Formats: sequence, structure tokens, C-alpha cells
Amino acid sequence: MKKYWKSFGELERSKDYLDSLHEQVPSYSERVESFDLKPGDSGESAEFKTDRRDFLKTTAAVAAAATLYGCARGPEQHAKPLARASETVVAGLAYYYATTCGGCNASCGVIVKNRDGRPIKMEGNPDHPISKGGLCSVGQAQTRSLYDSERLKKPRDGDKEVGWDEAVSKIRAALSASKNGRGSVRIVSSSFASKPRDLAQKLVEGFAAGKVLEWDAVSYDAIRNAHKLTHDVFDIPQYKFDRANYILSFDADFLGTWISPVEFSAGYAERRRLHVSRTAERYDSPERCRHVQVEPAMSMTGSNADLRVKLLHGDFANLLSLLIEMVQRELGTVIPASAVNSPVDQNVLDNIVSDLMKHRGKSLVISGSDDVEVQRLVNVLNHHLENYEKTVVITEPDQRFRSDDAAIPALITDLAAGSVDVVIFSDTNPVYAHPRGKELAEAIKNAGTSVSISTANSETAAACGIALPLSHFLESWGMTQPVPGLTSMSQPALHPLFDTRSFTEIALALLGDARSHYDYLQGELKTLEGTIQLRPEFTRLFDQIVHDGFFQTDAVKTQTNVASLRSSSVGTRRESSLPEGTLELTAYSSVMMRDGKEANNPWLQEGSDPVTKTTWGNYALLSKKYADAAGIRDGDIVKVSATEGDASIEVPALAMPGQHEKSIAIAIGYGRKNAGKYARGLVGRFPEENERETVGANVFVFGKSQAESNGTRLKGIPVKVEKTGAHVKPAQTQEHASIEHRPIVLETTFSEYEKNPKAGNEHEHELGTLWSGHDYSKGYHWGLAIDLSVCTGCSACIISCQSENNIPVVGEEEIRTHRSMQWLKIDRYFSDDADNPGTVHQPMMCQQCDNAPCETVCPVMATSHSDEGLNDQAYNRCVGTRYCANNCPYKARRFNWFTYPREDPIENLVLNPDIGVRTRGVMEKCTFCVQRIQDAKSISSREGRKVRDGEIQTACQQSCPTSAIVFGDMNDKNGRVSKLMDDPRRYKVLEEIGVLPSVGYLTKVRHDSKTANGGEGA
Amino acid sequence: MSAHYSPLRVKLVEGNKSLGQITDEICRPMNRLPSKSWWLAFLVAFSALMMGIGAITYQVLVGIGTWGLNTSVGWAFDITNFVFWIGIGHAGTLISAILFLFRQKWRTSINRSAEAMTLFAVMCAGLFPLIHMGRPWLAFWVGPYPNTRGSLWPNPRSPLLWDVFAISTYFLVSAGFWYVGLIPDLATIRDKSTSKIKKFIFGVLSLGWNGSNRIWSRYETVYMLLAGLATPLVLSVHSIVSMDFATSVIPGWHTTIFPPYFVAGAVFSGFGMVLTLMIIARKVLNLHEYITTTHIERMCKIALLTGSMVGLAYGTEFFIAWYSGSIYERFTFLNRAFGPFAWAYWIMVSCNVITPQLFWFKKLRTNVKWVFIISIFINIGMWFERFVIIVTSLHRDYLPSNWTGYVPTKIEVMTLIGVFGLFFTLFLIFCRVLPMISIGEVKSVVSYANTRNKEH
Repeated sequence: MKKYWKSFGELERSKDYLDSLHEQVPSYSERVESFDLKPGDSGESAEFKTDRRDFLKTTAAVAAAATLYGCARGPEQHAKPLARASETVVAGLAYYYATTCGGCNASCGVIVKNRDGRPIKMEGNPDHPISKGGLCSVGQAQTRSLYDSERLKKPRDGDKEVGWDEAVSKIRAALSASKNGRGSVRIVSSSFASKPRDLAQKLVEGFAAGKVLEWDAVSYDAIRNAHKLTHDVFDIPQYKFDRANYILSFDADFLGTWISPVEFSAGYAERRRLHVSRTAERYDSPERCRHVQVEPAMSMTGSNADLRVKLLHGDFANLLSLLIEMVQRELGTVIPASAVNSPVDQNVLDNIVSDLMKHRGKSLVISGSDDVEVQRLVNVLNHHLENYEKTVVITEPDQRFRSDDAAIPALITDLAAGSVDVVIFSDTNPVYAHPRGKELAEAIKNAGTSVSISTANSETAAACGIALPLSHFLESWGMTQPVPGLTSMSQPALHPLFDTRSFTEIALALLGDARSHYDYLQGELKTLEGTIQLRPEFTRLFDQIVHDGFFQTDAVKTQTNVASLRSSSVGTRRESSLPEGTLELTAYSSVMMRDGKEANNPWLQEGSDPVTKTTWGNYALLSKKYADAAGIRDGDIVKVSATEGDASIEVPALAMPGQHEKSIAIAIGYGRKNAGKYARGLVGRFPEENERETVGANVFVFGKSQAESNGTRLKGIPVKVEKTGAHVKPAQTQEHASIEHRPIVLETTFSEYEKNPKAGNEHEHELGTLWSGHDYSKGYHWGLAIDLSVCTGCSACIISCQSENNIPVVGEEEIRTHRSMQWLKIDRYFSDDADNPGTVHQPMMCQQCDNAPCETVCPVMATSHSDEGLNDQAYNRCVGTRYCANNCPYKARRFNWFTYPREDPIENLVLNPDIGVRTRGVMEKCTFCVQRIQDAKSISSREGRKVRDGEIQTACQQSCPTSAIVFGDMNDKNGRVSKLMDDPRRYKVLEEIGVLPSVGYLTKVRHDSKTANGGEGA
Repeated sequence: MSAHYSPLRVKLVEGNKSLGQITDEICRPMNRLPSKSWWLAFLVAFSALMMGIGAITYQVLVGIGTWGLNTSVGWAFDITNFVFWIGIGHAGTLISAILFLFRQKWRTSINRSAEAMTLFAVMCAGLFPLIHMGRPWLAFWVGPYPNTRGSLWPNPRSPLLWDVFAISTYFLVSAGFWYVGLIPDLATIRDKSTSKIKKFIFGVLSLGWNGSNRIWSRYETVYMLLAGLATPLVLSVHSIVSMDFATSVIPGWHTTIFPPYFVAGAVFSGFGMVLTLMIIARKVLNLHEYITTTHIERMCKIALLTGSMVGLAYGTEFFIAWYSGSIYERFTFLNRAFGPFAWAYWIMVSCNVITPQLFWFKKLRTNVKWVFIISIFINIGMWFERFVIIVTSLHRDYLPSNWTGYVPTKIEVMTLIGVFGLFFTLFLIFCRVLPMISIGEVKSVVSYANTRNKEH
């Protein structure tokens, strides 16, 4: 305890001082003494005198304190009160702030849930024009990244921590020295999203050789380059999935990772759903979008396609050329017969062409290829199909991704030549993510001053002399224009946790501009005067914009001629260039790890890939045929090496259905060296069991051998695969892929559905019962409906659930032992042909059964039925017999096998205070977000009404980009959930056991892959 | 105990022993220092016990995660051991109570140790429901005790609660029955002991027994009543244990055949264990004149009967799985026989169904070595039966997405061995401190007693 003093006398405890004190106020013992009739002891100092009563009192107090101390249950914890509480913030209430997600550049609108001054949950902003209320797994995991205790906390110069002033003045000095000298300065940044490009430009203004470079690990540069060729605009168009009746995708994972997956998922689902998402009424005039995916390896998007064509990247150009020719022929152009055989079955080709012709102007051809030629052919095909300005809007180009692939090779050359004075990397990590990263790290040493600005430690930060800590986007202001006509706002949801600054603040400091970020932002908004109608009361307008999280204006169109193409040649056909004995590598972005920026986020490391169901690392995905022929079993560690150059990695192999025989696919984003402990697997009850040098291996190294597009081609690279002899068990959350002909996922086609809405769901179970059942008529009866038709398997709900419900991360070994703690999982089943199977995704959580088998078997009644149809679980009461979990037909219950460490005070800030954390030995499971139900009920009862339909959104429902999950009161007959429950498509999983689940699933409906007629049903 | 005695009958105790000789011989192990073989056996058993205590301590300190269980397979070694040991106990009760009521005099040589075995087996079994809990320190919550938590009470619908009552009742009745049966013998030891301390202890334990007619007659009434009380337990305890599975919804567990099937299996496994123990004990303690091949042969016959019942139950399960038409049910049984745990299934079938059929041959069932080997097989087979029922049903149930495997950890194996250590430690101590054979009862079946009886 601190010692406080008010004068030197007190501090030194001088006799004079003490005497004077006693004259002023008699001490307690003196006051007691006055009743004692002991003579003549007034000369003694009262200070040290203790009489019997005082002694007893002290003893009692000590005893009481000792007792209380003995009662303490855990180690001492320091509560952190709001030292400077805001007048408007009430402790214990949730506050919501609109901002823009900075997880990637897609710029989805989010609403951040704050409790007691700390963001605890990311929710989609339903009004936001891009994301429309959904949010992907990476977005959901941003609170976890915010509270990463290994973030950079202070500026670092060399090996020592320095203050901001020192760091900034050092960089300013270097900049001005350069300005006066040769003026060679480079600012390398990830595509400017919420960071102002013009500030960076201003920084290099006046420098003789000052450049601002934009570079992303995952770039869409090929699309821009292709449009440069065809339309003379260096832009990515906007893709309008909600207008497309027919989607032909060449390995574009647009539902998972490609450009703006949440936006695209929403648009895609809108064209495939059978219910109006807002009212749950059935659509009456169906024009269902048909989706064909051409790809070498099964992507999440491919798993949702009506028709999947397995094709190597090397054959994309050929197929596209053939398609263009055939379309042109259909359009009446006379074209000589093709010299190249079709890489796919002619029937399939004919069907695709006839569908494309049928849906001209309403179709959409896209490609995730990083080959400019492929992208150019895509443009040509879209042009012939008259899709431009309909589904492909090039006049209002996408502003989010402006990475220039050529930037890094040029930078390496310049750095190596020693011709760069100052290089600043902002929020980008080319040392890790560029194929020539090692060279870059060496070359950086030649720069006079090298600076890295990043939130967390990274390979690039380690290579630079000065590392500046960047504020997380939840800690900073910001403004971005993702697409023309939309400005999306960011506002801080908390004061920076550490001594960090936003890019704007750093740039302003380097420019010597004294304005705060806030002032700067207001200034910027005012310069937009031409586009927004500024009312005199700017502040009110500003507040409104910040409140909404975005504002819209009329889009300014780019001038380009869409009527004719500058380059429309079909081009010379390439022969398949894959050398004998090699496989074609597809280095793909995985839904959880993306480009590897979030490698230190344990939620994402443990979030399983929607298709492979793997966690904690990347796997070499091979076709079953190839693996069998090469004698490679699942989990055998293989060495993958490039045919040119010395790039090679070792990863475990996994045979995947739907993989092209000559294809190998490995996820990028793994193999981060400097990201932190989670990127080394250190998590769980026994972290050392999971420790590895890096989780997974870095696949970016393979880009090196591709010279043709300046080095960042990551798809279509020939590699050799050999066994190393080592073996690990794959860490998958689901081990068995076949549904074993069990009626668990019901499926039908649109044409069958049009004939009979009950198609696929004809079988009815007659359930007898011996007892009267529960009476829910008085209050609520909660239910959940899941539309399998629009569930894409994207797994955002899993991370959302993890965030909402304080679900622990268990680590790779525990996943291997099949002990994932995630309450919600998405079961992925393959059907039919193992070479190119159908895939279904089924979210599976506690089904809140009315005749719950778990409830009857618990010996201590730790789980019991609520009046509202929930299976409540009382953690405090649970003794952990696991009988309930054994008796659950859905195996939806999760057991705390250990006490999972929660010792990091910074990381613990992410915990949702509305729900406890569970100790070891306790069973837990999905509660339908009972804390949200209680919250809404208390609000509604205060207002004297019932909970409105849609007022409660479970965490999984809230995050779902396709609105596949609907929660509500089944007693409300007009509610959305009731309508879906009454739908002929609705079935319940394992209904025949008679457990009466409260979760209804709606039959999956998609187009028959075999029929030619896309689009309309019947 | 004065039934008609025919000289044609096989003698139950060989060697024409006098009453005093019987007392001396049975009490002999208690009056001398342990032999080397006893010490060796005790050392092994006690080391195993210590290892088990170490494993359990670690597991309780760290968590259930130290076992190989997972989200789908929530029980494995723990409940396998529990059911196994409970089953073992049944032979003891059957021998002491049911055979008593049926006036099967041959039981007198083996009932004492069989009952002791029951008690120790129930102790071993009782350990598992306790340690398999995630929070064993809260195990008392399963008891219906008055508390301050409002109306919080155990769940009467849970078979685990039925287990609590079934097993505690079983233990108490068995212990009481055993103790009452011991009283005359305790008095004998009291009377024969020379050491003051021993005299005092056995004096207290024998409750003032004076061997009068009145006491004997009351004793026999009580014993009969307790036998009557214990008899239904032979059927009820394992029926209730089987309901842990039978009342569930998991294919492979949810079957109505379980209660009789489990009782037959329990008696079968119990006799397997009694045979193993008796064959060792008669060898080590030189008691083959009391535990004769006749005893062994009769126990073999019971094992043959119950083993065949168990085999019939296996067949019936398969038939019903097919006949039910439920795809889940059918799969579970095919998966048992041909899935990843097929090895366990076929160990079970060969040990429990095929091996006991050898007891049809008189030559084999009177050959002690053969019987010993077969009894070991029965023990193994019955352990695997519980393992197969529990693990194969759980590891692949309804949703294929939940399918997984199960591999036990070192801790589980150490616990398994440790509990055998506990059992044998207790049994070895029992051999040293109490008469292994009921002196009073054996005296009633020797020819001496019966001849005297005739003269009246």
C-alpha cells in the first residue's frame, strides 16, 4: 500500500509533529484512556500504547481478515474501474458503435458492442450497403486481434524501445536529409482502405524520387491489368451477384475470400433463396441463379456450385477461348473450327454455352486467376455476353484493392542498389508474403532508414530498423471509399490500449501537422463539400455520419468505352504446360487465415476450414487417385518443391474429394515466423505439446518461379511432391466425410421443388408419445430455422459464437483428440461421386430438444428444461459425468477437459461479461444465446410488451452473410421462424428418435448438375 | 443344517477332517508370518495400487483430459472398469445368498472368500463413478441430502442416481451379510488366540458370541433373512447398471435385452474371477482339501450356463438390430463386428462365447490348469464386453460428422492396473487377517458332522 503524507513532519514522524498531532486530535487509545482511571501515565507516548480492548479489537480484525483471506477462491485479481467514467456511459450496459471493419479491405460495416469501455463483439451493420448485416469469420475475430497481448506496444528503434517523439524526429530527420539529397523515399502500404492515400502522397511530395507503392499479399492486380488491356482502365469492376442469373466462376472463391465475400455471399444468396429474407414469405416468381464453378481444387465456393468442373489453371485460357468462340458462333460470327480439343466434356461445354446465351446480360463470368491472360479472356467473354454495366460495372470501379504486383520486385532492385534513403512499410508484410521476401529482408538493410508500421510484430517489422506500433482499427478514426458513392466511416471504440498511433496520426506527425486525427477527418469531410450537401450544422451531420457508419452520395462514373473492346483476340491457345511428373500448385486463401495477417489469432487458427475441416496449419490437398497411386496416406508429411528454384516446404498431405488429379492445393497465410505465440501453436492446457516453429508452412515462397507477372503468381505453378516418411494425424474437427446414406441432410433440385415443395422431405415420421409434453402456450417458445439452401458453410457463425460465448481455444493436439470446444460446428458431407462430389454444409449445434435425452440422465439436474423450450445448463451445478453428452444424438455438448488458461489480463478483456467462463470438469453447449434472450426480455418487460419478432438475434444469426439462420418465438405465428417452421421444406434432423428438436432445417435446393437448363425451375 | 446326507454324494471336504483340524487348518494363515509367495504377491499388488493412486491423483489434479476421451466418446475405460467390477461382485452374492437359499452345500468352502471378493470388487467399482466425474470433489451432490439451495435435489429420472442407490445398497447388504456370516468364526479366533490384543479385537468383533443354541438359532434366522435380502440384489444391481445404457437413445445402448443380458454377464464374469482367485488361493494357502475339484467343476458349469446365455444375447442383439429396420442400429452392430474396434469385438466373442464352451468337456473342467486359463480368458472377455458396448456405440453414433476414434492414455491404463492392485491388495490382506473359509459352515458339511447328526 502506498504511504501518503501531508507534511514533512508526518513523513519523518518527528516527535514534535506527533505531539502537535495529539494536541489537535486525541488518538483513539487516548480517548479510551480517559475512561481508565490509571494515574500518571500521561507522560508516555500514546503512539505505542495498546490496552486490552484495543488488543482484542485488533485481534478480532486480524482474525476476520485472515478468515476472509482464507475464503478467497482464486488468485488476487485487480478490477479495473473506469477511472474517468463518461457521463453517458453506464457501467454494465452495452453500447454499440458503428464503424468499418479493418479485417481486410472489403470494408464491411460493423457495429461494435462495447461493455464498460471495451469492445467485446463485432456485429454486422445491417444498414451498410456492402455487407448488409453479415460479417465474415475474420471480421468476427477482430476483437481477439485487438486484445492480442503480443501487439507492438511502443515504438522501437533498433533493439531499444523509444518514445514517439524520438522516433518521429529521427524519421523526420532522415526524410529531410533525403529531401535535400537525392530524395529517394518509398512508402509501401497495403491497399489504402481506411488510411488516406493523399497523406502518403503528401509525405513524398517534393522528393526527387519519392514513391507511394501499394502492395497486398493477395492481389487482384491481374484483373486490373486485364481491364487496362480491354477497357483502358486500370481498375477492378464491381461485380453484382444480386443481378446474376448465371455465374461462371473460374476458381474465384467469391463466397469465401475473393474481393468482398460477405457482399458477394449476400448477393448470391438473394438469387438462390426461396424465402424473402426479411419476412420469410416464400418467393413466388423464381429465377434462381445457376452457379458453375471451374476449379482444380474444391473451394468453399465450389462446394456450393450446381456444377463443378475440375480443371487445371493451365487449361483456363483454353476453355475460355473455346467458350468465347462458341459464344461468338452462337452470335453469328463466323469463326474457323477450333484447333484445340476441349479440356472438358463437350456436352458440359455445350450446356454452359447454351446457358450463357440464355442469360446474356444477366450472367457473370469471373476468375480468381492471377494470370492476366485468363482475366483478359474473362473480360472478352463478359463483353460478348453483354454483362458489362449490368453484372460487371467497370464505370464505377471497386476502390478497395489497388495492389501493384510489380512494386516489390522494383523495390528490391532499388534497395539492393542502395538507392533508397528511407523506406516505410505500412501495414504490409512483404518480407513474409512476397516470394522474394528473403531478398527483400536483406535489401532493406541497404536503406538509410527503414520503418515498419504495423499493429503486431511481423517479419517485415523485424527486418526494419524502426518499428512503429499501429493502432488497431477499433482504436482509430478512419474514412474509406470502397466503391464510388459510398464513404464508410471508422470511429474508435476504445482509447488505444498501448502507446500506438494510427497511420494518419503518424503521417501528420511526420508532416509536422499538429492536427489530431479527429480534426483531420473533419477537415477531409469538409473537402468533400462538392459531393455531400453540407448543411450549416456540420457537427450534427458529422455525428450522424459517424453514428450510421457510412454515407452515400451519387457515384462518379469513370469514363470508359464499354461498347467495344480494345483487345478482344481469343489469343493463341496454350498447350498444357505441366511437365511430366509434376503437379499444379494452387496456393489459395483459406477462409480463416487469408493472407496470414491474423496468424496470431487463435480463434482463426482453430477455426476449421469449411471444406477440409482442418485447423492449426495448412495441408497439401491432393486427389484421392494421386495419393493412392503415390502411396500417400492422409497425414503423411510430403515435401513439395518447385521445379525451378529452390523453394520447398514440408506439409502433411490430405486427400480431398473433388480435386483434379494433377492438382495440389495448399493454403497461404501459414508459416508466420514472427507473429507471436499462437502462430507457433502455443495454446491450451499443455502449450508445449502444440509448439512448433511455425504453424503450417509458408506457401508464398512458390511464387518465385513465375517470372511472367512479376513474381506474384500463386496459382498454376508446377511442383514436385515426395514423401518424407514422417506422419502426423491431421487436426480436423470432422474426421468422417461421408453421410453414410443417412437422411441427415435432405436435398432436392429447383425443378423438383417447383413440382413439389416437399420434394426431398417427403418422408414423415409418426411420433407417438406417452406423456403430455411441455406447455409453452403462456410465454415464448424459442426456435431456430436454418435454410440449408443458402448456407454456404463460410463458418462466420462459428467465430461469432466463439466470441459471444467465451469459448476457449484448445490447441492442435486437443483438436486431434476430437475435443474442439466450439458450440457450433458446420458439418460438411460429400455425396455421390468421390471424384467430383456434391457437398453440403450443415450448421450443427444444440437442438434444444423438447424431449431432451440429456436432461433425463443428469444425476444432479444440472441441465433442465426451461419454460421457453431451452435446455438450460447450470454450470455451477454440473459435476461432469458426461452422461448428457453421451446421450446426445447430435453430440452437441462440449466438456471442459481441462482448465483452459485464461491468465493473460489483456486477452481476457475480450470476454463477454454477460456469460461466465467455465471451469474444468463442466459441460457446456449452445444456449441459443440465452444472455441475448434475457436482455431482450428485460427490455421488453420494462416497456410492457412482448419481445418483437427479430428483436433477438443469436450470434450465429447476426453474423450470417446469407441470413440462413433465423431465430425467434415459435408461438408468434406471424414471426419469421414460425413461417419457416411451417414451410414444407422444413425437417428436423433425427426426428425419428422422438427427441423433438427446436431447430428446423430447410431442405437444400440447388440446380441439378446434369440438366442443361439453368436459371428457371422446371 | 441337517439335511439328509447320502454317502453316495461326492464329499465336499476331503481328507476326513476332525472339527479341530478344520479350525486349525483354516486359521493357520492367520497364526504365522506370511510366506514368501504372499509377500511377493502383495508387493506386486501393492505396487500396482500405488501406481494407480499416482495416476488418479494426477488425473484429479489436472482434469479428465488426461484420459483419451473426446467429445463423442465420453466414457471408455472408466465406465468399462466400473461395470466390470460390479459384475465381478455378482458371483459372490450369488454363491452366498442364492446358493444358500437353494441349499447348495458345496458353497460353504467358497462363500466367505467369494463374498469378500464381492465387497472388494464393489469398492473398486465404486471408485470409478467418483473419479470419472469432472469435478469429483462435488460428488456428494448426487446424494439426496438436505441443503440450502432451495429445492435442489438429485434427479430421480437419471439412471446414474439409480446406480448410486443400487450400489450403496448392494455394498451395505453385502457387507452386513458377510459380517454376520463371520461372527461365529470371529468368536472361534477370539477363543483360540493367545495374544491379548487379538483377543480384544476379535472379542469386540464377535459381539459376545457364546455359541449357545439360542444364539446359533438366531444367527441362522438372521443369516437366512439376509440371504433373502441379498438375493434380489443379484438381479437388481446389474439390471440397474445396464439401464445406464438401456434408457439412453444411443444405438447399441438402447435395447431392452440389457438387464437380463447384463445379469448373466455379471454372474459369468464373477464366476470367472472366483475361479481365478480360488485356484490361486487353494494353491498358495494349501486349501485343496476344502476347495476341491468338485467345487471348481460346479463353478465351471455355472460359467458355462451363463456364458452361453451371454452368447445368446450377442446373437439376439444382432438379430434385433437387423429386425428393427433402423439404419443406425444396424450400422452400430456391423461396426462392432467389422469396424475399427472389430479386434475388441472378436476378443470379446472368442473369450466369452467360444472359450467357455470347452467346459462341456468334463476332462477340461476338472483340470485345474485348464480351468485357470479359461477363467483368465473369461475375465479378459468380460472386460472387453463392456468396452465394446461403451466405446463402439459412442464412437460412431447418429451423425457421421461426430465419428471419431478412441485411444486410451497411459493414465487410463495405469488406473486400470492400479484398481486390480487395489483389489488384490485387499484380498491378500483379507487372506491374512480373517478366515478365508467359513469354519462354522464347513464343519456342517464334513462327514464328521453328518455322521454325528445321523446318530441322533
